[in-house]
Amino acid sequence: MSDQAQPRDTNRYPGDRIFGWTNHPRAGLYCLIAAAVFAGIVLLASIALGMGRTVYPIASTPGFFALLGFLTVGGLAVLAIPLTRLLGRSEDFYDGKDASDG
Amino acid sequence: MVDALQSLFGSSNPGFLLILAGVIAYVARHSIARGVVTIGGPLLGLIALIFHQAQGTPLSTVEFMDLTLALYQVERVSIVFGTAFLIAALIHSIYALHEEDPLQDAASLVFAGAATSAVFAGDLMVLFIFWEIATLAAALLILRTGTDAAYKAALRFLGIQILGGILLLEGVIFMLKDYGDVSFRVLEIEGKGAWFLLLGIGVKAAFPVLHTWFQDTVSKATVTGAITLSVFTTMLAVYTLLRVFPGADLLIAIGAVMAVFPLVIAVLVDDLRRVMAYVVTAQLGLMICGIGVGSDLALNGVTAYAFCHIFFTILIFMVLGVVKHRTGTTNASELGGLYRTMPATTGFCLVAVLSVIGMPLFSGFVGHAMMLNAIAGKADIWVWGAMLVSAAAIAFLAGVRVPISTFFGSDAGKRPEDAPFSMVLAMGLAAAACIWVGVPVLGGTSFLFEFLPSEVAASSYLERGLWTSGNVLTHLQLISFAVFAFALLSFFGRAPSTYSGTVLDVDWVWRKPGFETAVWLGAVYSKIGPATTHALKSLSRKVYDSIENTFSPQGELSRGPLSSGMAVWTSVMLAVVLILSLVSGM
Repeated sequence: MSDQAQPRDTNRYPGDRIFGWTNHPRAGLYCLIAAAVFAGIVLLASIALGMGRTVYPIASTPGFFALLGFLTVGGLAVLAIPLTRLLGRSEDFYDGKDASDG
Repeated sequence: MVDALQSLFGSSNPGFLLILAGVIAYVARHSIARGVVTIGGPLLGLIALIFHQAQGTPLSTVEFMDLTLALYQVERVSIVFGTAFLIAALIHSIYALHEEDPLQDAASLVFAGAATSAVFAGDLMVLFIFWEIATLAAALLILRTGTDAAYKAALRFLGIQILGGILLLEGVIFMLKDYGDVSFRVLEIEGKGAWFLLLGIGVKAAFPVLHTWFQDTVSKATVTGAITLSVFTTMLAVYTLLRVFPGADLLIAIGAVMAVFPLVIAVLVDDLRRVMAYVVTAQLGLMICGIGVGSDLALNGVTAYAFCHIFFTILIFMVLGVVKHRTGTTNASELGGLYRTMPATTGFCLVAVLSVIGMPLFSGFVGHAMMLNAIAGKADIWVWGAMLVSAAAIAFLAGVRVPISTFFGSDAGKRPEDAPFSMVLAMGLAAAACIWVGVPVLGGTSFLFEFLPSEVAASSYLERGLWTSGNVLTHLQLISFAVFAFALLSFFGRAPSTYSGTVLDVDWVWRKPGFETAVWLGAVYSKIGPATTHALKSLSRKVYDSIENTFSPQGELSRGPLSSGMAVWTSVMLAVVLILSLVSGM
């Protein structure tokens, strides 16, 4: 990923005009930054505006929902490792023919 | 004009018109004629619904075995479900115009028509009959794929659905015995009839452990079949639970398990239609939990969410159907970079996933926010927490994984054409519905809220409860931080990847610990079995020998002085008893 890297296949296909930027070599970094900025703005807004009237006291804790969203995906990422070993089987597990490729 | 239409359609169950259109579509061999019929059927159904004669009273009845069956009865809640079913059937018919397959067209319309008829059924027996017709039509849509896997899935589907049907029928018969009729009534979960009904509906609602038929069939059905399968059966189950078991506490726990458990497995699954089937199951869990809560707000929320759910679910399955149609697969590991040649489908995918995850200004938010508000305070905190975790996991699985694996991400080198015009039109209509209901100024939200079961609670919530900073920020926080967590994990190469082989579901229980327990029991028996048998044999032999030695004609009691003296002693004893009797009688 050098600084000189340029988008590939620019405007070669009809979808490039709208979504071509996602093919940029640094698109991953840009997405991460954009996600962080958006999440930060939402968090600041929730602190500034408050969560309104809440039934459970924990719901009014600043960043509670943000933390829950973050930990859920993080937890799924961690859980996926043992689950793959536990639940994963070969593609032809069901009698060699019953893979889900209807 | 209105009177003429009302007299023509006012007492016709709209679902019957779809079934009739399905039958005609099967015999119409010309594709244009078939197109007119498949689109005309749902349109006529909508006209029939608009001009229905009255609410809350049977509009069409038939006598059957001493029973008066109500074939058509319109209720407030059935208007919402029925309208969504009819529009979904219309969209599906447009989507399927490119298919030159009369059988699929017919089966899809009969399936949708039977589901719609069931929603407008005036009693549980009519609902049962149409539900089973829907099941048979759905099986055809799976079989039509023509693969060995689809054939087996169709048989499994029929097996479990017939079991569900029998349980449902058993429940209806118990109701007839207990109450003397089979009309819809709110039941507590007590007594055999209620339990049979709950289990029968539970099979169709994909309750935990009973859910695997749904992922199995949706992933193996035809491109167009998966769309109808994804909504009609399960939404009909939600509708029935809503009519029969509102406020049943058990449903809260069942819904909470459903909302989280399927998503844990979905993380590993490679087939995106299967992933979305798990997401749909989790969202069913949210609705079932809301039915269990049973308050006016909760039941309004379930109805509103079901309406929105039907449109965003058919939209995402239409998008994945286009991908399957053009590339031959929906496996995440074989896709990527399709945005290049499929920009329209990519756009519709984004609208679909934003609705699925409940992003504000898209339809999913409207129902989801209402449900979360209804559950908070009425259920235990862990149930509410489970719904939040479920929402965040759906934001990751549907909101991020589906579009990135399919249209963005690493380029798989596939350059298929975009969707045919009919498919684009159908996806456009469904996407428009998602946006129309989601954006308040467009009027869709208020239109939907006018038909919710509790009108007063609905209008009050729309004015003061829906668009609050709390609701918007709750959803935005869950979604944005779930996406941020994924972006962070991806950047460091730690994002959870799918497993390209077979991923076991609840069948793990009997395939792994169940199988191992059986093997262990076999091994234990092979070791202790012969010894145990030998010990039992020798013990029984000893007991038998001892009895024989004592009581047989050659036994101890028959030999020696004791035996010969026995007769004398018996005579003496009898004589004593006789004398005592004579003396006491004097």
